[in-house]
This record gives sequence, C-alpha cells and structure tokens, in this order.
Amino acid sequence: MPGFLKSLSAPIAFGGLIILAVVSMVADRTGRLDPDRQDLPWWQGVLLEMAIPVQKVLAAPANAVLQSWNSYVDLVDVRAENEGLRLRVAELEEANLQFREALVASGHLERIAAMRDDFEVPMQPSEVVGLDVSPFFRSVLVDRGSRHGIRPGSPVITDEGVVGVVTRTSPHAAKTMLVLDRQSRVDAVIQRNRARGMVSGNGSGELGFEFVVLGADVQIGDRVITSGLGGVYPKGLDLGQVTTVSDLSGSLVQSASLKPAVDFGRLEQVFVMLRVGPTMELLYGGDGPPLGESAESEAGGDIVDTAGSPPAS
Amino acid sequence: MRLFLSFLLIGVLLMISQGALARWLPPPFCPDFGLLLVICLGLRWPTLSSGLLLVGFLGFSADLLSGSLMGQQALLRVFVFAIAFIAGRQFNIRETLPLMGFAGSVSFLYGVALYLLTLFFIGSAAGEGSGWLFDDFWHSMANAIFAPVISWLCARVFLWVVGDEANERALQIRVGGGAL
Repeated sequence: MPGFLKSLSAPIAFGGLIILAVVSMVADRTGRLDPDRQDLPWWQGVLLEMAIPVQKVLAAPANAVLQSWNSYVDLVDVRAENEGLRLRVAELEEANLQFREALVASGHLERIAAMRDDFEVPMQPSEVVGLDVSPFFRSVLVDRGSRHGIRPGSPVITDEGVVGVVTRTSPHAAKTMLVLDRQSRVDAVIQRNRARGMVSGNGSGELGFEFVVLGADVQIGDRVITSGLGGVYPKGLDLGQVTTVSDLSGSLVQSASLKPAVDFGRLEQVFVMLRVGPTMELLYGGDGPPLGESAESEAGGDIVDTAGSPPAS
Repeated sequence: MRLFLSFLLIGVLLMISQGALARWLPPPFCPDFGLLLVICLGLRWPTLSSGLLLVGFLGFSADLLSGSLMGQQALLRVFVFAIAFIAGRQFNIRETLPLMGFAGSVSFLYGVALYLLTLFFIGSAAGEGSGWLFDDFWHSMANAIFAPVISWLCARVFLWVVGDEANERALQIRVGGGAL
C-alpha cells in the first residue's frame, strides 16, 4: 500500500480529488430530489455513530458543571417565581374555562378536536450531543437515528419553538440543520396580523424575516410562527420575535430581524417529530412506511405521543 | 502507512472533540482543529500525493460531521494542503509566530472561500450583512492562537511514528547561477 501511495503522482491525485469533491457537492445538492434517499451508507454512517459516544463522554464533565451552576441560579428566585406562576396558572385556568364554555356553546368543539388530530404527531425525545465541527454551518448531532423512526426531513422542535430539520441519519444518530443555518428557509407568518414572509438563517444568532410586503404592519415585538405552507413544519410553531424592522427604501419588500424563540446556546433536549411534511417527502423520498410505525422503542427513547399537548404556541 | 492511519484517526478524533467543544464556545471563537491539522500536515508531510489523499479523507469526514455539502470542505482542504505544502518548502513557517500568521491568513481565506461556495450553491443569504466577515476574522484569530498547539501535536506524532529524520524535512534552498 505505501508503494501504491507513493506511485500516485501528485497532479493526478490533486485533479482526482478536485473532481470527486465537485461531483460530490453537485450530487449532494441535487440528490435531495432522489426519492430513494434514506440513511447514509454504512461507511459514512459509522463516523456519525462513532461521534455520538465520544462527544457524550467529552461533554459530560462540562455538562455537569454547567447543570450545577444553572440549578443554583435557578434556585435563587424560585420562590418568587413560583408564586408568580401559580397566579398565572390560576388566571389561565379561568380563561381556559371561559373559552371552553364559549366553544361548547357555539358547537365548534368537535371540529376543533378533529383539527387537533391532524396536528398531533408522535415525537422522539433526543439529546443534542455535538455541534457542527465547522463554525460556518449551524447543525447539531442528536443521539437518535433511523432505528427510532427518524428520517431526513423530520422537523425538530423544543417546547420553546422550532429548532430545525433532520438532514442526514444513521441508525443511532441524526444530523439536524438548525434554522440559523444559511441554507435554512421557513415559510412564516406574523401571529398578530398573518403577514407572510420567509424566515431565513444567516449563520449568526439571529434570523432574517424577508419578503414581507412593504405595506404590511410589522412591529418590534411581533411573534413570528410557522405558516405550515412550506410543507416541512406544522402550522403554528414559534420561530421568534421581531427585534428590528428595516424599511428598504425603493424596494417592494421589507425585512426584519428575529430573536429566535429557541435558546440555541443552551440546546440540550429536543423532540424530533416523526412526521415528514409533503415538501420533505418530495425532497427526501417517501417510499418507506409511515413514520413512527417502524420506530424501535429503546430504553430511554420512548416515543412521546403529544395528544393534548401541542408542542408550541 | 502507519503515519497515514495515525493522522487519519487523530484527525477524525480532533474533529469529533471539536464538536463537543463547540457547545461551550461561541462559533466564531471555536478553533477549527481539522483545518489546523491540514495546515500543519502541509508543512510536514513528506510526499504531496499521499498527503492529498489523507487530506481528502479528512475533508470528506469534516463534511459528514458538518452541515456543509458533501465535498465542500474536502475541496477547500485539498487546496489548503497544497498551499501549505508549497509554502512550507519555500519559507520557514514552522516557528511559532510565522505559523500563527500563516494559519490565521489561510483560515481567513478558507472562511471567505467557504462562504462564497455556499452562496454559489444555495443562492444569496437573506438578511445578511457583513457580519460573517467579522465572524471569519475572529475565527481566524482563534485558529492562529491554536496553530502552535496542533503543530506541536503533529511533531510529536511524527516523532512517535517515524522517528526524528522524517520530522525534520529539509528546507529546499535553490541557489541561482549568479550566486557567489
């Protein structure tokens, strides 16, 4: 083998690698339209599989220190916060009761229950074990994969809002592209007035909200949620809050910046929705069985049925 | 072959470790160990062809562990290795300060190239100003600071695997006809 390596002339090796890399890039970009695309091949997946235990071990000491510190900080104001929350719960229960009464009275409850069935999807709790090895891309590695029913195109969320979408899977790992990544685009609406736009990542800690028609009323503090029209994410998931509005003079559109709903700096536990939207079925392939049916239920990895508890706003 | 496999394993482990480290450092300040290893290998590796193969493997591994398109980082790392290989034969940049300057400059250009390549494949990045350039600058600084550490690691591995003579590749000095 060393003889073989030495006999390779440098220009051939250089040219071959360049061609291979360019072909791989084009294939990776266009391969998303291939309906047969499923798991990574084993010789690629083994790297992700290897990364999971190593990163878990490496992150464990720092995790422990951070968790202890967070617990201490959390305890400082817990009494006052508890009292405030109890009051808030009481208020919300009262409001909820009134809404239910109103709905029953108007006969809409059955229709709303049917809509809720459409929204409920099983979820796979997963732990974030590592971040992207390149600072120019924003993705995370989670410790659940195709064995647990996760497929490329599965939306990933937390109780705070949208995290991203699964792009590659191996049996026990899944790579998730965050909404912060430059390649991410999410169709969204402003919750207050339903003005539509496109939320895009720009590689930093903020999100861009573009293509809002110039006359649309966008105000600082507005909440932006998924529209459901992109086909990837269900409608109504929280994306973030408007922090700045830029009125581009001479342009037909305006843009805004969003503070993401999810605190990506403290991302640890996420939920992978075991459902792929119609767009993702097209991009990543939809020949397999319905998601969730083939999912293994391993120790600590039980699928969560979200009945009665929609994941976000 | 031992050297090849050793550095392949070290490179993959460094990248995986970096994935864990990235949880505790903001992205621009997290050094790119994989890229630094490629630069340091370029300054020390004995033959260009086998070095290119090694870097190709490491580049594709980086693509797998990252959100980039498959081949995107492999392509650029092959270029980085070739530049470091050639520069390492023309100038003595293994010392700490020149190495830091070289690693910082190459990292910055690598970031620019990666950004442009991403834009080429995905179209314009919406809502983005020049913030990425500042991020790239700070990332290059972080890489420059960590370059001597990775260089030291490289030297130790060379010493451990093949002995002292391979670690000290002769600097080629060409004397022109009119000299002396």
